[in-house]
Amino acid sequence: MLDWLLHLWAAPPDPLEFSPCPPAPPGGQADPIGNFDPETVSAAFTTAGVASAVAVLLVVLLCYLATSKTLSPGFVKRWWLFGGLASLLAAIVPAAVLRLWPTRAAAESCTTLPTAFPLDLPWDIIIERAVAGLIWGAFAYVILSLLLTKTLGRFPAAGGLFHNRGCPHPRFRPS
Amino acid sequence: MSADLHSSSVTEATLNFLALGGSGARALEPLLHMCALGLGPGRLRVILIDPDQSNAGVTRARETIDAYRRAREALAARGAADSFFRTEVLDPVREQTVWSPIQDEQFMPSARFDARVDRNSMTGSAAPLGRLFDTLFARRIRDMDLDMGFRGVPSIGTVFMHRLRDERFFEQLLTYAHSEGDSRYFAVGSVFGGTGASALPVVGRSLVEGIQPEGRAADIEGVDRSRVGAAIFLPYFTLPSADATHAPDGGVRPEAALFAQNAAAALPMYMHDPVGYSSIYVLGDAQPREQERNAVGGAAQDNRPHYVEFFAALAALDFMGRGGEPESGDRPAFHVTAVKGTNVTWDDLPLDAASLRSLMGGVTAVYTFLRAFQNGGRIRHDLDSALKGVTWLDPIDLRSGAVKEHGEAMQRTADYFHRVWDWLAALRASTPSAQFIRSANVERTPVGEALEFRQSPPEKRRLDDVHDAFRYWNEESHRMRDRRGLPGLMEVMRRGSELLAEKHFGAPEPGGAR
Repeated sequence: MLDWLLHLWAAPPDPLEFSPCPPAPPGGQADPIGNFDPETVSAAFTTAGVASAVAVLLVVLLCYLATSKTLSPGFVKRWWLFGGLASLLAAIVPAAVLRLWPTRAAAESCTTLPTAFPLDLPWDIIIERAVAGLIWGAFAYVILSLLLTKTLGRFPAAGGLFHNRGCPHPRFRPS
Repeated sequence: MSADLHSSSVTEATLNFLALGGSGARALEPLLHMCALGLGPGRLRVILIDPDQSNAGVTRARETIDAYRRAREALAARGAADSFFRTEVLDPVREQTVWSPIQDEQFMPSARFDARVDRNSMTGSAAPLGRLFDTLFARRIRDMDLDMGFRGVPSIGTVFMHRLRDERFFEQLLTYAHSEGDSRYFAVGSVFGGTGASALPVVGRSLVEGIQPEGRAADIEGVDRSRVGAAIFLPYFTLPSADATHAPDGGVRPEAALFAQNAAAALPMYMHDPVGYSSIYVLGDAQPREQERNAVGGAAQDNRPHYVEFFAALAALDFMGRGGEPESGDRPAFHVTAVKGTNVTWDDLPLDAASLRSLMGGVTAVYTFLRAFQNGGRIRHDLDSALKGVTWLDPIDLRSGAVKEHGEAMQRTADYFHRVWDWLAALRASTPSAQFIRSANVERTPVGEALEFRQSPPEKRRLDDVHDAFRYWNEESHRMRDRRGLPGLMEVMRRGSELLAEKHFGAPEPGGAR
């Protein structure tokens, strides 16, 4: 459930296989399929998810707090613009995290190299997660905006969250 | 002089304002604007005295009264007239706002001065009187058409002005004085023209001495002298050379060259004679402005507003705020204030800190209202969508659509606020100018530049869009729990605009020194 909330349809498969294993010494035969170490994969995806959430939260706060504006067509446009940015970041950040995370092959999953050797996640997995992040970011941006404006936004000390609490509800259209 | 406009002797009392002549009528306009901004007396009873009923100043004053009443009625119908437009404007008697001292002879075929005093009947035993009349008044004065006013000749006005004592409305005015113990009487007029100069002494004495109405055994006692004040104008404008030496009727024209002479001749009377007033505010300008045209009365005498007239309105409110002049002796107390430099700015206004803050806030509110709610003189048709989701609507239980439902009240308020803004713009365009606002154009002026800064602005926040002003409305709306609907909107607008003025334009802080 948590995986679905964090990654939508792009949660990491368990086990996550890769192919082929490192080549065998001359005369030997490499294993056709190996497995990633599920712990490192899980850690990479969790970090990617959390980083996306933090990025979207920062974008929401930046949108509402780093402005002297109060609800106006200008602010609503700004909210949409920042929404796009949040969505984009929710795609780029997990892609970067997944690409750079020190994932490994599971020990003993390849007879040719039984140690847990470093192994990058495959691009198709990363891209799928990035596309899911694009959608996830947009949803998270809207939900966070609503949550913050309807709670903290009730108090003037919340600054821009208070002054712009009418966006995105009831107002989400600039004019 | 540092008027406290929040004192109960202003906000809860009645001001009987007697506007004498064209200058007096023009002083009524700023007084009504102060009322519109919520800084007027509890009730205002207006009496305009002018023989020239078509005078542009009188017409403008009447129109302003009507516009004020329309706005107030519409707001009051929704319980929203206790902030802006708080002052109730009353008629002295049966909608009679303007009194002409020559109106009794309106049935006469000729409006000439000699006809109005019935010179032709001064024969027989009255012949010496006729000769005296001819001696005192030159031919071109005797031939003057009085429907065009007294044209800077107060000696004509004095002949007719005493009729005031026979007027029903004046009797009623004195009667009110005895039932309204907290009311004050204030007359405004010039001492260098015709009507004001002739009316000022008569009005003051008549108010204080009381009258004996015809057919009534008992006198109507006068008003206590401490309750009667006046503002007198010294020559604060001049007139350009006229195209013709004489007026169209062959009579005299007002002559600017005589203004100072007239004033100098009149002033000793106010200093030494019992003219009735306990307080006299003497107002003038070291650099009298030349009017655009030299018109002899009527609609053509459409002089532009002048800040001295605004000071006269403030003088009336100061007189009220001080509760009259209780300590006055036999002679009136004279009040002076001065303007630093050539042009008038916020700091030159003789107001205490709290009143200045409210005034700056009021003008900010006028700007914000016009910028946010109307376009081209009409309430915006897209107001629902423009205000949708705005924070200050929530605490006052007002939906964005509901603002438009109050369309009539909003429209009338906009109509009046336009008058206020146009008046401020005219003051700004004058030489010397009163620099209260930066520009006449509301639509093209950013919020942060609506008013002239009183000092270095304490808050450097950029205010471009009108919605930036709503930031201050939001905060005040959150603090306010007792007002809903349109009354809530008006109160939020007042408080929020005062906060904006304080934070951005350097208005004094609330509770500042008085």
